Amino acid sequence: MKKIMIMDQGDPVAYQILGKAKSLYGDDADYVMVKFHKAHNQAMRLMEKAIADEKPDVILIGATALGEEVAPALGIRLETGVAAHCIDIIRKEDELAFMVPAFGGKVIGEIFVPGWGPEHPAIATVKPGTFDDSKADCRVIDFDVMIEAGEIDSGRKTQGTFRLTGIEPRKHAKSDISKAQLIFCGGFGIGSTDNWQKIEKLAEKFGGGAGCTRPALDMDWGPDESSMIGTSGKTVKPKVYIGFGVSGAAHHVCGIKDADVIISINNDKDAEVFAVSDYKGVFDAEAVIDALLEEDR
Amino acid sequence: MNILVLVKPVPDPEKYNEIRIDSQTKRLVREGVPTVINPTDRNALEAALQIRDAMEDSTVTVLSMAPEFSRDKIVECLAMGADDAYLLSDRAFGGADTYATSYVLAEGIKKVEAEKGLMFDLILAGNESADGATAHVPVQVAEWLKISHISRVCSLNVEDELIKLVKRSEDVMLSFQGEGPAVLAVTRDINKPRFVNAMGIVKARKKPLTIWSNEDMKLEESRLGLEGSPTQPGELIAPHMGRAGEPLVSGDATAADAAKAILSVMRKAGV
Repeated sequence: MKKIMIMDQGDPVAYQILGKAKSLYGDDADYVMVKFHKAHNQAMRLMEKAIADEKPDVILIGATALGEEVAPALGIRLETGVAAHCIDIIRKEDELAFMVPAFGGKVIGEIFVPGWGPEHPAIATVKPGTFDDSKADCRVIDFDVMIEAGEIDSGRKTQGTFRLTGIEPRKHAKSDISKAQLIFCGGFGIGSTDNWQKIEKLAEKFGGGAGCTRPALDMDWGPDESSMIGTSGKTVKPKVYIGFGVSGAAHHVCGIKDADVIISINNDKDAEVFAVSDYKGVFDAEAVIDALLEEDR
Repeated sequence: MNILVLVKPVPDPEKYNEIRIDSQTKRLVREGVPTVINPTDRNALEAALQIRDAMEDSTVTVLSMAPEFSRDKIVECLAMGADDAYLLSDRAFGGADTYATSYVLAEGIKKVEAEKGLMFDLILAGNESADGATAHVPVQVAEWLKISHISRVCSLNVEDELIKLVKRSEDVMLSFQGEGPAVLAVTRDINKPRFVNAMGIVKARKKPLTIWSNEDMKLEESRLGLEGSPTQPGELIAPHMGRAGEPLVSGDATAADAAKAILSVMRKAGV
């Protein structure tokens, strides 16, 4: 029987992963969650202890700011392979194929960890939102350690020491896009801070989220990192996505590919984004944004 | 302060739509896609240059593992302002996953340190490369070297020997302070990288660029490349993301008509 360990960082991603794991192995595996309440400076020590006690075959970790540091570090310490940002996990007889995106999602590659088992557990990370929320349950090892200031304890002697000195809540964008059913997205083609504010107004008016592309973010028109959609930002799955002045770069398109309906407005009739849209409108983005603001809900 | 910056030449992320898989060979075709310095590595280099320029007796060294044809990208780092550079280049290094790549880089760092007779106080890297985007390598290099590591660093200051930084997490900003050696992986919002100017290009020609193959490195072949990689690649697929691309409205419609059509799609979808 395989043992599957999941690192629980106190957000839904651990249960999304558990749901996926159970869909692969059902009752053929033993599942265990390791919980330590985002204790960033102690995560390595606690994970190493849990792994030594449990000897899992697979370790699955949410690709968060914390998980993205823990997973590759464990890879070196356990001398094993780590698959990053899986978009799917496929059981192939005795092997597990981790489906991993590259080149902004333009290409998906199978990754295997040959010889995986308790000696060299296969490790993989999964971005939040990749798999559906799940009410699945399993055994939990709760270290009951909360995040607090203090030295980084990496579980072994390292040269150089750092201390966590401050924990500040982040300022968030006006609307959270990761769960939004409707998204208005501004690309480089919106061209100004004014138009970004109008996108936010549209989101407010119609009850959706305001997102942006990386080039729009780089222009400092107002959106912050939490609004960016794409492989290095948020992955969204709205019922309707409406892109204004979005060119269709691979790393953005990968973040919207699971939207039910994609509408794109772009004044360039050859924009690449039209090939991945359900509906295209060759219009000046601002004109359509203004017209939508005039419409009633 | 002696700073080392890890740099990776990558296919230009602006051109990823041109990358495809050959239907016969099933291999990646990236013809015509130029090579650039990985964007966040430029942020790492900029951060290093800013620290050096503010502190006496500081140096910035660039290290990269890449095929020799990307040598001019390393020269570009020298033109941006790095003092010297090392390029680890050997066929045996190719095909490596992040485990085997970080091993070679860590061994490269040790060899540079031995040559120079110093220890780097700080090793900076971009948080992730645009191509593979695993964000593994900075962490794994630190693990091989048994030094501290912090990723997603969006702000960095060095006062005397004290390193102060901010890491961005999903819901909180985490402040850390401490002393090196450490590998810090920086995000793209930490700074705006400088452009290369003509003076920089002239100066770069006189700066030392050392290329080491495995004859110089003398690493065991079994630890390198695909053979030294605990992950093994299977098939590559190009996901089909194409959609119908139907006109939202007829050719002579106005923006107001388009807005009405959008509303109608929204209503039909129940949002």
